[in-house]
Amino acid sequence: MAENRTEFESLGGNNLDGIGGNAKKITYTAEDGTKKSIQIDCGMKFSDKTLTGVDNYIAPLECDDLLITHCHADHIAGIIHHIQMNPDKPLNIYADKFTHQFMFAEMTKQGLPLDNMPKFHDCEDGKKFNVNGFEIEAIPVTHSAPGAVAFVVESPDGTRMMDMGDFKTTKATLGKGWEDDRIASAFKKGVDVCFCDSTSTTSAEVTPSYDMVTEGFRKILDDHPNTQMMVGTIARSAEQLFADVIAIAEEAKDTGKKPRTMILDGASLIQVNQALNKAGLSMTQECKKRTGIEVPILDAKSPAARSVPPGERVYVVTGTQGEEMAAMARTARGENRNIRPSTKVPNLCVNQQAVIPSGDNQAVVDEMMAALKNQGWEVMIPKRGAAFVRGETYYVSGHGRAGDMQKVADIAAANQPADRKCTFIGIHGDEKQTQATEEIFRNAGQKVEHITNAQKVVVSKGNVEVAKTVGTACRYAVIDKNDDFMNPDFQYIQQAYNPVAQKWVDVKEVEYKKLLVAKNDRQGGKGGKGGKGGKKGGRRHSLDMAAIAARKQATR
Amino acid sequence: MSLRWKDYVEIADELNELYPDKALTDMPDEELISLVRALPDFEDESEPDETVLGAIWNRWVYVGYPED
Ligand SMILES: [Zn+2]
Repeated sequence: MAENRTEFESLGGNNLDGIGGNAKKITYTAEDGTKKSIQIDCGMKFSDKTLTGVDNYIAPLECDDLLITHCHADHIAGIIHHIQMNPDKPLNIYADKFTHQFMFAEMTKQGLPLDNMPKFHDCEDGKKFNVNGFEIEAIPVTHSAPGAVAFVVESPDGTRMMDMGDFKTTKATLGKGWEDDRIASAFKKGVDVCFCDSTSTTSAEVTPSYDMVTEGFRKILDDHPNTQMMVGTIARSAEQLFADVIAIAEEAKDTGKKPRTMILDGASLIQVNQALNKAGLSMTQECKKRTGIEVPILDAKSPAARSVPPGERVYVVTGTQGEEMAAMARTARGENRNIRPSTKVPNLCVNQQAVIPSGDNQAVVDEMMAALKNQGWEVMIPKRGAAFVRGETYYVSGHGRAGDMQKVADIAAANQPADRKCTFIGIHGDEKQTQATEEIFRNAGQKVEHITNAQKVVVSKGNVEVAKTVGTACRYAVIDKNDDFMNPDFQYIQQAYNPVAQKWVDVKEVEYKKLLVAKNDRQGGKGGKGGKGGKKGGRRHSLDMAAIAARKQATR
Repeated sequence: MSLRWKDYVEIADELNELYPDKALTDMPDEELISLVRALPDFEDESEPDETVLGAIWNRWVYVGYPED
């Protein structure tokens, strides 16, 4: 009989080529060889289709029980495709209530039949739960998405592993978030291996809290009284949006004036707002609790929104990266019925998200901001990597930096039992980022290991070892043959990583059952409306693609 | 073909065709239920649960607002 053991495997996210496609598997093997597994996250990784011909890559889904750390696409967006590839496989999802509401919204938005919906289980804070023989504790952490958690997974042999999820160590604005004590008590009970988000570890200091966004946004409000505003945001990163709500409330409190009105324009914002309400995190209510001020949050379609004086309007829109069909790009093209520049008061557009350095983003966003400027909007956009300045910074990331990792190391050092020291391993990053994380823990006197995708961490009788041989990493290429995200025609290709050639190779095309219903499927069938919504050209192409392509050609 | 509660995609499309300018934020469940029951081809006597109402609402938001 072999010894029992607990293994961790990064199924995706410890990539050589950048962040994304996060997925992790924990397996317990008993003495008799029987195995039990659970998975944490099943995300996607963006791909530049012009270079690869692939829309995105998704991590494998290898277990029936899936814990989800938070609602970002790099942690959840693989799931719906796996349901299409394996419609009869049972799937249980364990997540925070907001994450669950958000995922349900995403799945129903794409028309997944209710019979194929996974079974959602809410993790209640402070309540441990049992999944397939593992005892799980979800500990709130702070990230840009509300409801983010770290998971402590205790295997039947007593091994305890902690996946920190995506986190930073300052307080959350909306809902629960990071508390030193909670992480300390996890270490106090003993953690054998801790896996740490490495996204921003190569940057110094601690990532500031969203209070800094509130201060920066407040300064923008002070500098722009009686101005029609349009704020670009990422819907599911609602911590940042809520920081703006607080700024609006504080302005009203200090000036004694009526608060400005937030007007949401865009499906994902309306859905996130609803998911927050259903999860008991209404932004209006939470703001009132904190400031005593009730900031009205309206829907751009509502008649009430039209009667708000232009100088009191703060439109909130999506499309910070120039996505073609999102409200910001449509406003820039003059196609948005809900938002037009005011002729009576000044107009200000704050794109509250730095350009994500991927594909054509920079050119597309530049073009969009220039078009808005031409329409008479003053435009603001934060610079990626800019220093944090109190009263000026109005965008901060949800990922911790080197200082946040140091804090985790300090908490571990102060709390871990002397006879059960934790081993730290960087995840959620490329080689440089994960190694930067491990360097910090090593310098803090902690034990450290390093893994790539498909390399196992084995814990047996308290000994932590990294397998010398690396398995074959797997992923699925998702290709939309229609090249039309409103009406996709998917193709899924399973790929395996060849470490010798250092590249991914196709294994096979995966058959699937078309369960999702595109936005235009039914309307197209009826005639009249078909073809109106789904413009060709994919997801993030906003203004003049021909001009951008020509410019790219010229600069090559 | 008559619609039942679980046909949430078709229900949302019909609602959107009939009420394209309806603001969906804060719509009470009772209002959503009565709009669905009033659809010409809806035939389902059963009571909808929270899940199916959420599904109709989400899909309606998706088809009703021109954004991904
Ligand atoms: Zn992430």
